Amino acid sequence: MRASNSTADPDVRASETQGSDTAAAETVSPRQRGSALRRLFSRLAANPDELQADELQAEIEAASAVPISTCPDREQVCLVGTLRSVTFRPRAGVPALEAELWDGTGAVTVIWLGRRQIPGIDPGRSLKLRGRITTLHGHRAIYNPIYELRGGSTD
Amino acid sequence: MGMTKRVLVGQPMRSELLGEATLSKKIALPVFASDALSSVAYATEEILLVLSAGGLAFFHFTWYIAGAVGLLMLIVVASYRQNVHAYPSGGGDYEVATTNLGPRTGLTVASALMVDYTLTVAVSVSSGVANLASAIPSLNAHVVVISVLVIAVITLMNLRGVRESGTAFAIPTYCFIGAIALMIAWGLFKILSGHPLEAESAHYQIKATGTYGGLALAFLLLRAFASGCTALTGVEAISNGVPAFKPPKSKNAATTLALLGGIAVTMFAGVTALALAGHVHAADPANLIGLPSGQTPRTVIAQVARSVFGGSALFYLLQFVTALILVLAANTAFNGFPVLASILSRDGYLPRQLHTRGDRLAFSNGILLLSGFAITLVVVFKASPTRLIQLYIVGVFVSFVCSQTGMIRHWNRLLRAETDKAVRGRMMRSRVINAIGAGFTAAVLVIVLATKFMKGAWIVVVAMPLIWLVMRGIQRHYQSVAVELTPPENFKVTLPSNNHAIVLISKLHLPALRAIAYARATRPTSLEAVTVDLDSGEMEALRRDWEAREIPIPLTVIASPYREITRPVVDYVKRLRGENPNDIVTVYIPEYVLGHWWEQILHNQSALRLKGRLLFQKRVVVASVPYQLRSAVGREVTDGTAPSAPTAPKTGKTPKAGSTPTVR
Repeated sequence: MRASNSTADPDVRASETQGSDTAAAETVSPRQRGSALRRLFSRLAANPDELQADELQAEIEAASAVPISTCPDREQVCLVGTLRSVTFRPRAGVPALEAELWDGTGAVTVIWLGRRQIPGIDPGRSLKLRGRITTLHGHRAIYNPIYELRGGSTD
Repeated sequence: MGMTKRVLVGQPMRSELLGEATLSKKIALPVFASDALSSVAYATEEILLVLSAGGLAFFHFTWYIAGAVGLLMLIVVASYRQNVHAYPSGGGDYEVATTNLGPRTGLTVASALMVDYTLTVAVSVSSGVANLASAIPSLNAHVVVISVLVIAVITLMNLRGVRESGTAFAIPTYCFIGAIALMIAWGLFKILSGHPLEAESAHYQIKATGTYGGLALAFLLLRAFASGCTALTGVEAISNGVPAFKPPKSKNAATTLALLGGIAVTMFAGVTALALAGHVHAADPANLIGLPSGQTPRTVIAQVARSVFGGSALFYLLQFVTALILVLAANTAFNGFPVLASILSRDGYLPRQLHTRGDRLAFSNGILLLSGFAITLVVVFKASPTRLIQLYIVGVFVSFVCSQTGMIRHWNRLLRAETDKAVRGRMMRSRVINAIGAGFTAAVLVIVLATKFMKGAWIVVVAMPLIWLVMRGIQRHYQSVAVELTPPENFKVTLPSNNHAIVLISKLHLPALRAIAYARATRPTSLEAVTVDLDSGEMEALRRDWEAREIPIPLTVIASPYREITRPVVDYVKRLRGENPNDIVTVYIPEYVLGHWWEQILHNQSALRLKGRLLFQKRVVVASVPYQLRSAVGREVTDGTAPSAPTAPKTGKTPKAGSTPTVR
């Protein structure tokens, strides 16, 4: 049931979600609404990212969290998503661990100052965060959040 | 590979060696005439073969048909003498048609000529091999293989760049003319001295395949005429080669053309006369009554030679020379086709590769193209000259008609501006000659098409428009690309404002360290190493290694929920690129270079795919950082043409990467 369940093949997943996927396909590209055939093709050709986005969005609701795209600036929020990438700083610089959390609606840069590495904070990991969200150089960012590891990482 | 090529083709030649050697009339005649003269070897036979459908009784028509062919030959030669005077630049029919009738007609001529050059090779070689097999009957079973081999040898010779070196052509051609003249003279002498000739097929009967009367007879005669018109191919060769003549070029070319016409007509008439006098009965082997089963009848010219010379050495000499000149005729196509292809690609109708000369100063790609098509034809038609000849000459007559019509236009245009009476008179006379030429060739084209269409000419009729369309398509493509690439007026170059660089890493080996060092040296706006998380154990090892080596740039690990490499990286690059139209992303890919292509298969495959995908991304530059393995050292390709160059694919956008350091 996890989005990042590593044993599920993307194609199998695509066929599983076909039934509930019509709306998603339309949001992907409204001008494809025209023909049923096209819709079918776009569903079959759906990007795994889009499918994952759908599943992640479903989880936001389940965890009563806020979608990143609708987060107001400078407010305490609760986010749910997976880590798309994790960046380790070189030893020479200020110690900090950076990661990009994605919840299917948007991405936020998560920064833990003073830490070079946190066990469990790996790419592909699913997280629940609480912290104050800001905008930094045009990107959403959140510093030193309270985090909760959720089950089922890609490993 | 490079070694094999050097042995076969020879050392490359410098451009200065491309001298424009001019030819005297004595040498130019054999160089350009071998194609036209060689058709004597099969034109008579083709007439007889068609007439044989009506049985022996129809052979007396041969005279009229041969006469008509001879007359047509003279008309075409007279018309082309006007071309030679008016267009001494050597563009030939293509130029005449393009200038006077527009590029579309020019392209028609070009496609017709291309088809015909290919057929010249196929027909001449097949016919030459058939003549060789007439002298040595045991070769009959292997004509296809021999023909293909002959084409391969001619190809190789041309790739080596045996340019129209006079003597190589002159000796066989003059030998052929001499041998045929000797045969005619001896034959006539024998007849006059009361020794009638008798060909070996004289006692064979021919089974008529039908009764012909009225329209059907007329159609058969026209078909025989159309087959006989093969004697006309190659006349246009001189008009393409005017620049190669010694000055006064036009006059010399015209004289040579006249000589060619005279010699060809005489030889054709002589051979036909002897064939009739010796009662050569040529027909499809199935319809020859009296032919021992399983035996292929000799070619007509071989039978004539045998009836004149008997089994003496002269017979074998003639057969050998005939085969040789037919091969040389194929070689004229190897001179003509690549030049035409080069002109066409200069005008954007064919791929650019055909435009430039290879390292031996020959148009290598055009030669290979022609040879490939000709071999295909020979194999498909089993090297049968009779079957191939059905496709032949449609193209030649299309180009005749277009070029003669173009010449009428040419004179019309000049006459409008000319006031001098004497000059006007000359022009009008030329116009009349060209008009006659255009009229006759058009009539013959109709006859050829009508009579040969079902026999195989339809292939050409289909092929020519296809080639035409392909060439148009190529030209449109080149044009649209050129329009897109041309900078608009008052275009200003804007420097990229930010250059985000990433180095793709899988583990910290020497190539990766070199790539990191190189990327740092280019001083980008931001720099980080990127790896894809495929295996958590490996990733952890890499991270530890990273810290241990104190590499001073951040390491980003991208999640890959579907265990891919390409897509997560491309997505990451897109995010990094951002919205700013002046930001660029440079992706450094460390690659190790291997000495052998089979090793290459085992490496760099994901890097290759990634590069292919990234090239389609805007504002993304891919830079390959090569690391030469020991097996690759000293194996750099020296001639730049070896296709087996085992280096990484040359898709890296180095021109753009060159601008990267100027960002800061």
